[in-house]
Amino acid sequence: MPVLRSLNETGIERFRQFLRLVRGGQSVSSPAFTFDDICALPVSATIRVEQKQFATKFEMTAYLQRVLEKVDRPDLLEDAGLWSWLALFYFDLIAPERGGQRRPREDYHYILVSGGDRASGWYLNRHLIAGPWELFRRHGIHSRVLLSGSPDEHGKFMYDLAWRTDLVSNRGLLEAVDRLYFDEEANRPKRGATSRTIPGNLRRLIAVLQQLDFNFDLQGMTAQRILELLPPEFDRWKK
Amino acid sequence: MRRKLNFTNRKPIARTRVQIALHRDDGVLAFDAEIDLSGLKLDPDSIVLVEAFYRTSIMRFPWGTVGRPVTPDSRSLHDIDTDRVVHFRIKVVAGDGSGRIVAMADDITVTGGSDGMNEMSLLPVNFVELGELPWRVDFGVSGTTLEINRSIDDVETLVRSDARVAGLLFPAAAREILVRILLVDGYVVDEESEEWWAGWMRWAAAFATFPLPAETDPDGRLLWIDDVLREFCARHEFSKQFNSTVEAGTT
Repeated sequence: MPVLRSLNETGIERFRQFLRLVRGGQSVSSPAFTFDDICALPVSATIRVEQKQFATKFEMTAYLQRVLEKVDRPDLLEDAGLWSWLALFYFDLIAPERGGQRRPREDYHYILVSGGDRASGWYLNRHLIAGPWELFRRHGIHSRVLLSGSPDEHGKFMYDLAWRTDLVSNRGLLEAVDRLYFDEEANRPKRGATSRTIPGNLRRLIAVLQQLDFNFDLQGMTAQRILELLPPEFDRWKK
Repeated sequence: MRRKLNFTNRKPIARTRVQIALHRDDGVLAFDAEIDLSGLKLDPDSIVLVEAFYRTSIMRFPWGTVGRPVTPDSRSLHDIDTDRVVHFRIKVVAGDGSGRIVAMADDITVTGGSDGMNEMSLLPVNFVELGELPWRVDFGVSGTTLEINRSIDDVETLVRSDARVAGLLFPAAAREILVRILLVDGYVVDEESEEWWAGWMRWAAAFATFPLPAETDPDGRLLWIDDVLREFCARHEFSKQFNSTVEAGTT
């Protein structure tokens, strides 16, 4: 199992070149510089990371949390090299071939724009590994509905909810969303949760929450109390 | 149209009743606050809370009750993901356990300068990493922030002291914000509102030379925004300052 690494400036530039090559149609995976000390230095000789297949972002971030909790550093999110290396390491997973072709997104989905400023939240949200990991770190098991999509996509829960900073900072609210829309038995979101027509769907929930937030201190409430405030159209999802 | 119903009769707390200042304790951002709730006829048992936040990071500070305010000893903002701009809201919550907000001030943005001064402003400036993007307007829940790419050489000095930069940046940013308020999000314009967009509308009204057209007339509203910006730039003489700065730089 390889050791966890962090790309230096040379490595990040190589990663940019690699992304350009892939966009140009070259079918390359696991480039050699991933493990080259000139481009990627070990974070620690003892912390190792495994090449695995993850069905969802939740599985991926839960695994990465077990790896990264060994890295004793409070500023982990500021380490653009580490997150960029992880994106390179799991490139097949977060930029898979479809129809014989890879179509990477913009660079910032893979190369974290950080610059040592924790305020670069817009880019953090969109990085395909650091963004989901931050949600898992904040909300643990209750992030599973947000992170239910495959690792290469953001998904509707991320677009509609996770990037709304006013809502996603609220732990009780995220637990309430999880209790409403996550199907424990099927281990995935309940069918129709992101529909635009079924009453009590995610978009309706966001609209209702934004109204409730005007009148109630949702930040100070438990998930149960938030669920009790919801109008009857959400009753079907509470089962 | 976004309209939030005040069905619990929440009272606004005027911004003039709140004074917040940022400072640093051992290098960590912290704040002081003075909150005047007198004369608002609030239940003395209602709970007072101060929330500080930036993007997804938030910290809450219990401030006692209306009748017995207690300033917490620690007002360190160590969990807030910024080192310059912090948004605050003051909540007064019913003491009956219902969680009902009885009064609130919701659009307080405080900027801490490197010189130790700080200000509460309509468009605070934050210097952040933006890749190759020179600047952008961030629309947060509590207001707008002008984010400038800090990787540009000497950018703080340029923005603060070069009239050319201000003349190019601020009218464009203000236009984006007004278009967002009036034509994209369609916020209800209410002079009494304490929401962030109401502050912008009060600012714009001070420059407009004719009344704001109805929401059914988007072209008219675009002309109104043009009118506001023309007057704003005229009062600040941006083009004249631009020319004089260029001349000063070439002599």
